[in-house]
Amino acid sequence: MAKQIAISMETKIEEQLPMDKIVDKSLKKTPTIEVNDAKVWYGDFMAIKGIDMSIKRNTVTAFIGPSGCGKSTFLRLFNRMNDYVDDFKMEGKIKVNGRNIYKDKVHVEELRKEIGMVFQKPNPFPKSIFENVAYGLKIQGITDKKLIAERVEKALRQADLWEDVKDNLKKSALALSGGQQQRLCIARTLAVEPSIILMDEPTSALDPISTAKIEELIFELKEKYTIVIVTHNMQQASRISDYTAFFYLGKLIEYNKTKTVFTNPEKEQTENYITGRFG
Amino acid sequence: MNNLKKNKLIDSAFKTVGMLFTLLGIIVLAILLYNIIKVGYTRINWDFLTSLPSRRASKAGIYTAIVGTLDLMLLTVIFAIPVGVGAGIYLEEYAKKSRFSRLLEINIANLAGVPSIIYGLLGLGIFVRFFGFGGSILSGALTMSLLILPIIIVATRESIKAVSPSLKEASFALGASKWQTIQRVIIPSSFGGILTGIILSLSRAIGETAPLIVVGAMAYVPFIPHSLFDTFSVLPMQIFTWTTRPQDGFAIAAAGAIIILLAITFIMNGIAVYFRNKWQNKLQ
Amino acid sequence: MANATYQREVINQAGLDMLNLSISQLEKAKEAFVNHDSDLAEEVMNIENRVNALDLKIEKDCEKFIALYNPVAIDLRFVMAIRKINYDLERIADHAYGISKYVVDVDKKIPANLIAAVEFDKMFATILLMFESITDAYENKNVKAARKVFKKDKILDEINVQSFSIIESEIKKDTSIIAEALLLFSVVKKFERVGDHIKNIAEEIIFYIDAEVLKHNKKK
Repeated sequence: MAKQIAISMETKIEEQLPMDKIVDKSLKKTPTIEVNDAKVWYGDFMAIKGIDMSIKRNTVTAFIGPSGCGKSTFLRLFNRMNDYVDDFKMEGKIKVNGRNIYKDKVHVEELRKEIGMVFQKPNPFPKSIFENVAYGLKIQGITDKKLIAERVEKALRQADLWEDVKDNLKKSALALSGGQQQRLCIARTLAVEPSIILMDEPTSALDPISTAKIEELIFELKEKYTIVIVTHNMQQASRISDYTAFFYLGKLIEYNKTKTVFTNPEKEQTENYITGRFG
Repeated sequence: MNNLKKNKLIDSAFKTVGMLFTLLGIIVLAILLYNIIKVGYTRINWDFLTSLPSRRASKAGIYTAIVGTLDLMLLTVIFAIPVGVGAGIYLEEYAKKSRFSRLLEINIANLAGVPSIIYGLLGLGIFVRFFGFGGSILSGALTMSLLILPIIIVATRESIKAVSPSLKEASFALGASKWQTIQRVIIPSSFGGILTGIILSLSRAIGETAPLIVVGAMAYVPFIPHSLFDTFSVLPMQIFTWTTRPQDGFAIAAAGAIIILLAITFIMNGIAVYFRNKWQNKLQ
Repeated sequence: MANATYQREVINQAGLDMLNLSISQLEKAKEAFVNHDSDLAEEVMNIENRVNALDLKIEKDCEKFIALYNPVAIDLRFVMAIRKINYDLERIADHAYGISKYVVDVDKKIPANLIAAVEFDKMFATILLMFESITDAYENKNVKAARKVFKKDKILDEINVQSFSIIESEIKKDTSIIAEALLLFSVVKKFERVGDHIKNIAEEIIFYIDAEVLKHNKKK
């Protein structure tokens, strides 16, 4: 009887604590995301033409470049969201926390617990605020109501939304303002406790004040998470990122400390882009 | 006269004509309703609703017909909804988009427009004869299911299409599987549309007479069907039968039955509109 | 904006450090000069490295701030003013270095009567008061305090103008003190320069806080 309880407890704990949370000490030194010669095709069109990149833990990296340069496509390689696009084909190695994520053994659902994503247009589910944030936990099979409530509160606090909504958790998420909805989407991602957060132009649909709030949030989150953000707003990249990667027509032109990119970039193309001479 | 004046004239002319046409429709409906109600409302009482049909006009009631209609609707719902909604979800979410699937999509939409008597003949051949269910309520329900299946499939697909793909993306990005996304995000969001489709297709089915005649609904069923394999009658059938009788009493009875049938139809449509509005508001 | 605010504060603090460093360099240099203390003078000359390093750091930080945060309005005026203030402070520290070099290079103590004759102490006391004013203005964004230095600078100009004839007559009285007198004359000139630099700093502070450009404005 006791053995049965022990086994069922073990299974419960294993279900609720993904294996990757137990971070190896040696893993701390390896870069969080490592890309080797990544290539992407949509049918015959080559969208990414061989890119190498290494992203360090607890940094904010910005991807900039003109429309259609492949920065969103490249970002979506990290959580395999391109898989849903017809005719998608990729080559190359992409390692996240040391594991090659395009090897068949990796379950996409597991991967997305480590890597969260926030999209351009806020897309909360037409459910209550609470249910939105709890979604990621419930699909993992977590049923402990107390645990869920705790994680929801923690996530909403981290997203700077708790004070606004703590008395109205049952209210529909769609009743929130645009900026609040986006912070809700961020909370939803945080609830799953990923180590990496990808953001695809998270503030381009928001007004300046909401944008500023979210940029501040990103700055706070940097302590615990690794953040990669695609932005078409160069000033945003310069304000909030530690590293900046400049993409053009599927190639990585320059990848450097943000300070360097904006004061003295290595490549002339980079300089032309950020000074507005093209693109 | 100059352009400005001309445009203004055309504008008000169109407005007037449009109003007239609308009024025309409403007036015709009003006349119809008035006549029916004038003829039939005296006939409606509890006896009318609970009596079995009879050869004597004054004793005839629509009990069998109502029970038959409701039983038929219930059975149709049980058969048609799982199959229709399931097929709709499969076709929209799982089937690969190819020339074949597009062909399928067009043909299902076409099926919705096939005259209902064809379905009756189909039902006759498959359910009544081949499976040997006879002219029973079971055959009737299966036939009606086939009739409304295309409508439900199309309504389901359209509702699912209307769900924003960004919601699906969000769900996947949080680590949900395809089925979890369908179950937790897509179906709840498209639920209102699917329900509306179901109710509208049912309210169409409720008024069908021809296919049921072919399948074997009887004009004169003076008992309550007890099993699936019993013969049955439905309201439209009853109305049709009574209007063919010479006696005045039956004409009045028919009018009464028409009122009941209209009432049921209006209520069902009203429910559909209510749910559709509720669904729209939820998604806003 | 947390990050930009933080970075601005870093520059602000660096500016304050530079201000305090320059004042302390000048005070030590004056001490060393009056008392002919070559040890103190050496100390000032060594610390010059720190001054240069801080100067470069502030330059770089300002460049980075403008590049990354696109400052506008008061933030932009701040960063533009800080660069100029930094320059003036660096020059003041440079003068302190120069004065200390005199002490180390020329082994002659300046006679007390000479120092009294040119009102050296009064001059330096005025400079200290001016430093107080701009420190107050810088730390507390106090424009009124900044304005006080213009009048005081006139005192420095006055003393400087007088010093020529005073030194001339002292040399005529006793030609053996020519070297000391020339050194003193140089230092008085340096002090007058320092006063000008402080005045510039005051103008920059007023510009940054009130957007009032006082440069080349005769009526102050």
